[in-house]
Amino acid sequence: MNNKEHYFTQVYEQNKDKIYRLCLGFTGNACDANDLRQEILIKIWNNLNSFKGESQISTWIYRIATNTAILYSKRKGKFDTKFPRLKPNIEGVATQEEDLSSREKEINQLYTTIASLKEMDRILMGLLLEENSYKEISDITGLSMSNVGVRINRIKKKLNKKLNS
Amino acid sequence: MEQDISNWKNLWEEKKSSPLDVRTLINRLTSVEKKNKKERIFLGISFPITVLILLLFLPISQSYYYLTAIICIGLGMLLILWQLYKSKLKPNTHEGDLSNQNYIAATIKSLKKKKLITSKYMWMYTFLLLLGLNTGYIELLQQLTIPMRILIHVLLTLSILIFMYVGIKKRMLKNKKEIEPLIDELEELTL
Repeated sequence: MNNKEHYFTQVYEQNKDKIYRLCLGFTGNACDANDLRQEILIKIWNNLNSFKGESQISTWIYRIATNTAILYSKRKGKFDTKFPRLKPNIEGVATQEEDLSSREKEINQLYTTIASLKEMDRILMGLLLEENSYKEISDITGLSMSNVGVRINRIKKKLNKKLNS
Repeated sequence: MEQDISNWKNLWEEKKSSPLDVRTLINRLTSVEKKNKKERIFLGISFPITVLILLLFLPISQSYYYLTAIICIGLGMLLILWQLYKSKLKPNTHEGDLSNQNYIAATIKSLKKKKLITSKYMWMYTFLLLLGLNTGYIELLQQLTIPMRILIHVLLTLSILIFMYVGIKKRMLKNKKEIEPLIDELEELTL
């Protein structure tokens, strides 16, 4: 394994859950989340040599992930055909709604509700739930901190209403 | 509200990544990377090789017409190849440095440039191709009568114009269907 492969594996292992959660929060279903994750990982690979360490690796990854997500929803179905899909191992994962525990149902409901928001709102909510500060969210999205605050408050209310309806 | 957020955070974090075979992914990424590198090298050497072949096969030292023809066609090819390289093959390695808003702006700019390849650069290429071919044909058809030469020039120009017009129109329709709505949707995200 060369240096790039080793570094990529390390970055993937450290961030795989964050990336997957953002993908699932953005798409609302496991199938699209896996597609989006693959697209993000391809971009991380392609950009890895240009990471200069000027920002935290997590900020850098969030930028790539959210930038990819923005275009993913617009280009859905036109994925680069020269890169075949990798099938994730989903054996043993409960997929039927009736097989899920009430906690799992709650988790699914949260993700699908977030995925029903507007694109930028999904990104903001995902970043907030990943414990990013307003400053970090502002760095990732390019929105001013005050704008982030205002929009997050609005999204929280909207999400609360949707989840309790 | 804060209790809700805390509850949502707990629920959110419980979700773990589905398993993925990273080794296979890396192997595929490496192979795609090699393929892209080969394409870039091919594109880089195909132009000089084409010019070289033209220089070898056409007696340019005997005629300024042939020389002008090669220069015009070469310039046209260079123009299109450069635009294609910029829009398709040039690796974009700075996505992690761009915030969402900057990324959207950069994507819109790049999509507008892509539209320009069809609406502007393809016509410039057509003009240079016609100029080059017709200049070359002046020398090539010297033995024929004037009416016959005019007829061949007109037929050549018309057939290339029709061929390019149909191709460009088709591409513009595709752009209208795919690129323009994408630009509109992305512009909405910057509001």
